[in-house]
Amino acid sequence: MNLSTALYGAMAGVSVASAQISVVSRNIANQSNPNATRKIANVVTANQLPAVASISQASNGALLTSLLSANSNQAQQSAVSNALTQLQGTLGTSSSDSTSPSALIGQLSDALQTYADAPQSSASAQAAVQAATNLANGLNSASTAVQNVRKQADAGIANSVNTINNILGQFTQVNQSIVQGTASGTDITDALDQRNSLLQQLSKQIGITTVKGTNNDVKIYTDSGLTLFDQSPMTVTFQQTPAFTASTQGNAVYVDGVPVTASGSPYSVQSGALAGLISVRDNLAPTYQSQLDQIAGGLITDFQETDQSGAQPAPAVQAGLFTNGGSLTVPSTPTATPGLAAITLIPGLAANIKVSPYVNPTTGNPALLRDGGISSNDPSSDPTGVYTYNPSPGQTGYSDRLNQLISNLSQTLAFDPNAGAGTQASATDYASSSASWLGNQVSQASNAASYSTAVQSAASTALSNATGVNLDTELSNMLALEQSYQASAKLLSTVNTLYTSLFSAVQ
Amino acid sequence: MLSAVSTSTLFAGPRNAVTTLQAKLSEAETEQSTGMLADPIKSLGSQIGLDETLRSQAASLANMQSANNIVDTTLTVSQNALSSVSSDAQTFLNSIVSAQNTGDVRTLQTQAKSLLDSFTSTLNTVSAGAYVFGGTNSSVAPMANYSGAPQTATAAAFTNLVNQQTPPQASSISSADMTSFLSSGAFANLFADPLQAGSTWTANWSQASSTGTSAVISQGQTVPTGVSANEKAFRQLASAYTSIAGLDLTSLNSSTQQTVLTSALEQVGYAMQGISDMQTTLGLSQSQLTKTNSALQTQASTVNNMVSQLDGIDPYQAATALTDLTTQLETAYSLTNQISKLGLVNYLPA
Repeated sequence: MNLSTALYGAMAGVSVASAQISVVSRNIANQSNPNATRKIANVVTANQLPAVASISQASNGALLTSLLSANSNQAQQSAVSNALTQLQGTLGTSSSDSTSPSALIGQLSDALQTYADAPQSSASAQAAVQAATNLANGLNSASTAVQNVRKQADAGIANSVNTINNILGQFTQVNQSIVQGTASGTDITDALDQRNSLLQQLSKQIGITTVKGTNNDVKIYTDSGLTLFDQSPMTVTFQQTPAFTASTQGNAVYVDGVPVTASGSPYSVQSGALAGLISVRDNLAPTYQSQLDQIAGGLITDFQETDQSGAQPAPAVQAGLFTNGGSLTVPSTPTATPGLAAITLIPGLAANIKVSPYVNPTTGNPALLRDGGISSNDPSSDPTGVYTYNPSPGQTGYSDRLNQLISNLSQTLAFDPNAGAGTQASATDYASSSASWLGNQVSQASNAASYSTAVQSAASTALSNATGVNLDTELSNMLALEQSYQASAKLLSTVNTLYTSLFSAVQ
Repeated sequence: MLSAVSTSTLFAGPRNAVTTLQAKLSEAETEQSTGMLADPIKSLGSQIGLDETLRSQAASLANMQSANNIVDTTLTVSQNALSSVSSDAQTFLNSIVSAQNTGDVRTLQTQAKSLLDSFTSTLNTVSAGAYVFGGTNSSVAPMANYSGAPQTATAAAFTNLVNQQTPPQASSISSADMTSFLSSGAFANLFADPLQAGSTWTANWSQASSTGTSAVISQGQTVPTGVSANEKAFRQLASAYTSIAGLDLTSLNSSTQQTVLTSALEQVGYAMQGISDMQTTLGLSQSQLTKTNSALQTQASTVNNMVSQLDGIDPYQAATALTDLTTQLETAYSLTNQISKLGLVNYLPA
């Protein structure tokens, strides 16, 4: 033991303390960066002297994995919930301005009732035609809203695919520098932080799993097991659809040529915004559209006009008050049960349903609603058919047809089970069970979204607690390091004094 | 075991709480001010369909009640018209009896003419834009004025009868001829049932439809709301008035004159009976309407009650929730303040 050894020891102490203080200051500086982890200076003793051998970081693989999956679920549920909130607009939310199909059907029935009690009143006739127009417009705009939601989801998918490709590109570079850094032994902690942050961003778009390889290399797979990244990124492709109608099919998303969003594909992604948007575009919105189409079909059927001449065996029918864009064909077929009509599922019917121009006060005669024969003026109407119900047309006290129309709204129809809102119901009841279906979806999605948000927030908190920076810990560490630095510096100065005394004695 | 808390979690805690609480607070405010769920679709879920059905049911019930008021007005107007027709008929009845005794037919003729005018104008009563006695043909005045086609037709029939006599004079008409003229001859045809062959009632007198009007006053309940001017009682009454007003009574011999008076008396009697039957029918409709309206009222209040059970909220609960949320929000604010003061850095020497 001599003075030189003491000097080397003190110098090593100063250098270790300053290296550690620099790590502390890095930690404090990164405190506001949510993705930065706590860095740790690893001190080793070599040749009896301490030295900072490497910088490592606090990490927790399990918590990161659970955060990735929580991110995917949360993004999926909130995509669904946001889209449903838009669809919910078609129902209206308060009693005063309810615009839902079921409320509009109720208003039409009420207007017909008032008209039936004063069949001579042209004001009541116009009010009834107005209520019918409101109903047709309501269905048209609901249908537009549904297709807009699909279009937005499609645009969202395109966005998501762009983001995924972007992230994978950045990921390639970061992953490469980590692999090289690990091999050469440089500080890779910041790159690791960046890579984890990229993984978190990616998990919001698409459900992923990761596998670690040699030299900290990471491979990414979709949650359906398809490779997304293995040393180089796979190309994710998607063709956006510019306009949506009820019969438009959106395109699938491909990863390296394999469809990951087509229904029935074994590689369908299960979570992430992509999965949520796909289910909105291809499942939820089309189902609601089918229900609107069925309601429209039910209305055309309820207001159809039957040949009154008593033709046998089955009298001809043609569309009356409501038509499929002017066509006189009634979208229903008889079933085995007498009097029960099966409503044909015609995609986009709700967008095309309109009130016959022949009852419009400016282009026709609203009183045809009372007398029947609405479409008899149509060039395509069967000229021999007799569709007028009033035995003495023009006699204004006739109300039987109006009362028949009101009761038709409560007649049971057979709806397509694929539309998902029940099978045998009246048009009015079907509209209300369609509202229930949507309400159920909205409330489920909203619950799922808030649940998955809570899970995501808990996972994020847990990860932050395990790997994040606590200012107070860093500060108290710094106090200790400060002391250690001061002590080593004092030692240096003491050794210096000793050397000075020694050298002056030698002189 | 909670080993450590990262500083970002520590600061984010109250901040996240504040955003959540503010969202809830805005919902609670809406609920308290409107007394209804802030977001019924989210809160009711699959019950929203039931809520909508009940709402439109409540609207329908209210609509039905106001539509029934129109029906009620029509019924009242019809009833008033019928009583006026009936009391005129009673006056006429008395006059005929007194004329039978005094033989003064001129006064009776003048009276009959004025009563006939009042009769046709009463049957042309309008309510809510519809002729109440027009049957389903409610946009056209049902009764023609006596001075037009009816008078001409009556005069022609009488002239024809006179011309068949030998010599062709009114005084030659025998009592028997007059009876057959009034009960089955050309005169009777003027007032015969429109469905009967030879009837000229609709050609001269009436444009009404024989189909009476009816209205649905609640689901599945239909009541008659008006009678047609073609009803037998009205034709009988018109015939009685016309036989006095339109035939040249003074030129008839006294026994034939008596025959006409007796026949008119008979017709008025039948007519009054018929009108009384109509009054009963419409009266039944009115009482049914009153009962239905009160049933609709009960139904409406039940439905409204169910609606408010579904999407209404307890005001006491809403107020409590609002207070709770306010307290929580204030706590979160004060926590944010306190946490920001906490930190080792504040206690280290400068």
